[in-house]
Amino acid sequence: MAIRIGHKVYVETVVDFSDEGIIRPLSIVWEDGKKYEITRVLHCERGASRRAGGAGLVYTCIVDGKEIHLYFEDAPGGAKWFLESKA
Amino acid sequence: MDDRIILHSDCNCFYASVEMLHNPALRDVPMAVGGDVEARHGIVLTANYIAKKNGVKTGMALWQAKRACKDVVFVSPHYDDYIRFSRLARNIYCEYTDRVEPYGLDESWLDITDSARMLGTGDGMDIARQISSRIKKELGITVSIGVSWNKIYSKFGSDYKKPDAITQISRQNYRDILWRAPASDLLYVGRRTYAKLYKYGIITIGDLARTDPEFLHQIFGKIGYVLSAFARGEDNTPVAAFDDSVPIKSVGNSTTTPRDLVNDTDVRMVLYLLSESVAARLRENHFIGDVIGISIRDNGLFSFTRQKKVKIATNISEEIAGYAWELFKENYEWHAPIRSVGVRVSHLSPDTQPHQLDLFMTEAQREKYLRADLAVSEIRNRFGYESVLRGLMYFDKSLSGLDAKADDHMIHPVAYFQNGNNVFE
Repeated sequence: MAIRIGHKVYVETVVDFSDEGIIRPLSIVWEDGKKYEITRVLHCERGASRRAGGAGLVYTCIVDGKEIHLYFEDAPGGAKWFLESKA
Repeated sequence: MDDRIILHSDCNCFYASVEMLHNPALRDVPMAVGGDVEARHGIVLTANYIAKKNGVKTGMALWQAKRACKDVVFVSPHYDDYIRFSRLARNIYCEYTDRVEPYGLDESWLDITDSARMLGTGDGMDIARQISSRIKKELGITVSIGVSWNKIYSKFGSDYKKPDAITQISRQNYRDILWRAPASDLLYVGRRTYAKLYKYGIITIGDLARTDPEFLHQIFGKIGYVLSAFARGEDNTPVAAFDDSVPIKSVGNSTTTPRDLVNDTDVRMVLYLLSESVAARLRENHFIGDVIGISIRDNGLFSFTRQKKVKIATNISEEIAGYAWELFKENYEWHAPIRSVGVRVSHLSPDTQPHQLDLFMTEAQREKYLRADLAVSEIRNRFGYESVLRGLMYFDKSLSGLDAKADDHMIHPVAYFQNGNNVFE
């Protein structure tokens, strides 16, 4: 299940690690409990989200035809994935 | 020879900025990162700009900060996060040059003289702008950068305008900007040096630069020449090449206890507590060390430090605490209650290094202690500090309740002069 802290929503993420070391998120579970498939990963770069409050690798992905930014936060307390919520 | 291009990058209110990134609610209120309010050793480590505007200063006791600004919000430090952000920033610097010299967690010098052209620009300001915008975008915090031809002036530049600013101190403008600033703005002019300079009518950096170095030598000794060279921009110290192993010279931890320590049991508890945290941090950083030291301060003015070299380098809490306890017994006569205790391990080497076995101490026993330590660390990481404590700690929970690991989790900046810096060369 997703965990929300302010505008930061930690999501359960299924990730594929290729034998060449490429990391690709495959799907996420959003707050509504539904699983959303990531159909494409457009690019990945370092970035911070001031709104959500965190920094790490930002995956620009297509989910349900829409572009989303999925953050991988490799923090000392545990590596987690989060989304910035609009609401 | 052409001038060097040296950048000094300083993360603005570093600890506070990292906290504010992670918790947006802290951005619009006065806040300060500092120790525990209940245990009486709390001081302000960093404050945000709103708190600073209200008179909160680094180094203030928390109660003083509260008096200066009654709405100030205190946040306990999260050193693991600061180390992570410090590394991320350093990774960015290292994309521009291999000559990156950290000065504490939040500051670094970069020498881009040789790499600038390779990067498609001969201009330090250009690279400073790139670095500044990348830090903002990728880390969500801001830096102030100084650009000049020597380390001292670039450091001045990064302090000159804050936050999120870039200042160039060039051959054209240094007389107008830097020389007009008070001498206390120069690296290594502390409060006492400044007071002394002031007495001789040396108020600005320009005054200092124009003063005969021989005169300064008479007043300050050798450091007089250094100050003179610093002020005139003649510092030729190289920016040390980046080396991961440099910043940590010793691992130590000290604490002012919630109540005065009055007997051996009290002291043993605190020594064990501190030794556990020191051992855990040694292991985290993959070090062993063979010089064990303690520092003791009583409730009056008396304080001392003692250290000894041990036969086998260690990162085991049982051994560190044992040596610390021996040092204490040999050196303290209980003429007064104790207020503050510290344990430090230095003369470090990587824990992967082969080591000399001791004939009289069985390796199996050491191995057991080490495994016990590892298990305890693992349990604490999962279930919290209090989940497993030594029996000794139950003598007084107010003392043992201190989470020593969270306290003073510092990598001490290597002093400017130790780091191969020598202006006479």
